[in-house]
Amino acid sequence: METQLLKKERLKDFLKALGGVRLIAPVAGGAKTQFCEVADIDAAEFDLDDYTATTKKVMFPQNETMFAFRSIDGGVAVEETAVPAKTVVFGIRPCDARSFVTLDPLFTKDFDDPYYRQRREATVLIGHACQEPTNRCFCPSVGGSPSSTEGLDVLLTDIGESYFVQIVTERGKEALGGAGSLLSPATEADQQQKQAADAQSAAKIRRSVNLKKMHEILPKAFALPEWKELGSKCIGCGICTYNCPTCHCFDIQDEGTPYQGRRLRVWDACMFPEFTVHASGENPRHDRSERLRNRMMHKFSYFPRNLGFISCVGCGRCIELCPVNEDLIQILTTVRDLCNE
Amino acid sequence: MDATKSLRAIAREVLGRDDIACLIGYEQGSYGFRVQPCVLTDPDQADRLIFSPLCVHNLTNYLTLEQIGPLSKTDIGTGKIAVVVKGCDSRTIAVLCAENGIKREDVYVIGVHSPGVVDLKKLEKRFPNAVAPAEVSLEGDTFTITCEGSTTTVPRSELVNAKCLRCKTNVPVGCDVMVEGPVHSMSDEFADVAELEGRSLAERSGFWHEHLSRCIRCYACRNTCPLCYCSECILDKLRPQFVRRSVDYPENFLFHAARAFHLAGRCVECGECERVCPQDIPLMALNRKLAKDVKELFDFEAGIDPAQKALFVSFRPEDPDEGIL
Repeated sequence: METQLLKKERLKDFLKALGGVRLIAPVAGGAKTQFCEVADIDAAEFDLDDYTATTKKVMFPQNETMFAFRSIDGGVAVEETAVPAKTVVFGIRPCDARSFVTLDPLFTKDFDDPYYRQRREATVLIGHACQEPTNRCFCPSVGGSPSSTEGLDVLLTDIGESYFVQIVTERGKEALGGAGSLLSPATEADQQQKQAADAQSAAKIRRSVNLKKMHEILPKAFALPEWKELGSKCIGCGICTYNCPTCHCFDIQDEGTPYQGRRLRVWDACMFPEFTVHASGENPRHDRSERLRNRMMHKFSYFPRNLGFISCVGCGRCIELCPVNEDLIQILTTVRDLCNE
Repeated sequence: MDATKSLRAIAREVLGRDDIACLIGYEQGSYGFRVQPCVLTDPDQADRLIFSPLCVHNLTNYLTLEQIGPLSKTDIGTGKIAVVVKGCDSRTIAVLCAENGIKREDVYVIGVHSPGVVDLKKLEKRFPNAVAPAEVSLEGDTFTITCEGSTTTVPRSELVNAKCLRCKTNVPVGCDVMVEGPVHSMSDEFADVAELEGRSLAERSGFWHEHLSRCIRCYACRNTCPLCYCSECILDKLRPQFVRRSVDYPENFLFHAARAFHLAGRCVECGECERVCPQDIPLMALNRKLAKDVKELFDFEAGIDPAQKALFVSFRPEDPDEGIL
């Protein structure tokens, strides 16, 4: 992996040097930092320490127009969605970048989803290593780390006066082509500083969950009566799924009139009762506890069995945001204990 | 700590009774400052209960759900559900009973004189590293916070939830049993609403455009609201579809406006919607405006008196009828 150094004060020049691409970054301002398109790099105030803004929407937007239609003389005119523009996402955290690695096979393996794939192909991810992981982070338990490069094209680590730049992929190298003059080779001392910074961040993570054989334990635990209690606090909102970087369920809706409108893909959540309700009115996942169990099974059992890895990157947003402190670490630990594993 | 002790004693007695099916209270959460709701069914579980300024939830939300803890409504049968309430929470029960959402005889209400609850977002910002169970107590005007081995005191005004700063009374209404503590009473002149009302239409429009555009429609506000308990929400309906599934400002506005209007004269200002919002949308500004209007137009405050009728089914001869065609 190629390593370079970027002076911190040259960050904005660096971003400008990436050329005519759409830049998405965590921008402060208003009541809450959001990952959004940056029109004016000079005016933007980046908030690289924000740990709440979600990036899932960059590849998998909450509203996605699949096509628009309108009736014309003698038929229907269909307008396909435009191919996404070349994009650079700057300031994404390692856990969020890893989430795309879990989503990739889902959207490309059994069925090629052109909307996700085209966007993924058009996007370069420049990450920012976590310096101050929060009290709800547990990425090491799921195979990540605050300085993981998995899923990223480039990773920047703050080592004081400079960013330590790791160029992970060919795509990353290409994207940084125009910014070459702003980078200088990293020395041995820089390497050491980078290692120290990584170790310092990793040491700050204090929550963990034992996931050994969890994909085998969960099916055994499926019929445990304790799920009723584990899931009883849940109030059935979608805060965990909508803020989860790996949750990917969607609904397809037609909006408009029979003469003009669009087919739309929108996020959906397995925690909503309507998600599984049948046309007959029957709902096979009637209780909130059954829906919560499904969410755990999906991430920690079905996903590993079908694709070989768990569908959780340890960002802890579901834990932090849950209105009633349903905590997946607590749930999975209880399930393991109940199964004597 | 004393409230916790009294609460446990009450719970032990209550859970031993034949007519009580379960008790909804608070217990230690999974990390740091988090407290979680719990549903107890056995007197031996009483010592799990706690009460502190971290007990932010309005537990009456669970009363209208089909499944309450390990029990479904069918399991509960004719037994009563005991529930721990703070002053604001108790008003919810009054509203629910007045509109036949629940029957008063089906619940056993355990009131606690709460000295105020924390604003969790502010607290966790100030003490961001709490992983081990942390404790918060409030005496007089000072919070004492024990977190990760050190104890700090913070003035009440810096960390208390905004709703507690305008709490008219912390004495719960219509309870069966009370855990007593210091009583306080503050005036509420709706200064926050007046500030927003004082802005121009364009400014207000911009204010809501900015905030409501952020909404991701996770419905945490709706689901955490104890007075949003329709068996099928208008937002979930597909035939006819009142609110589109696309998440953008017009649809988000429709959602929040519909919810606010449905809560007019009913909202007890427990503030749960705003507390849980992952996008920090100031939802209480909507509810507070309606509360102010209801107070001024009808001299009505939701849930303040357990004997009161619901606003929209009450009529007084002295009503000037100005709102009726």
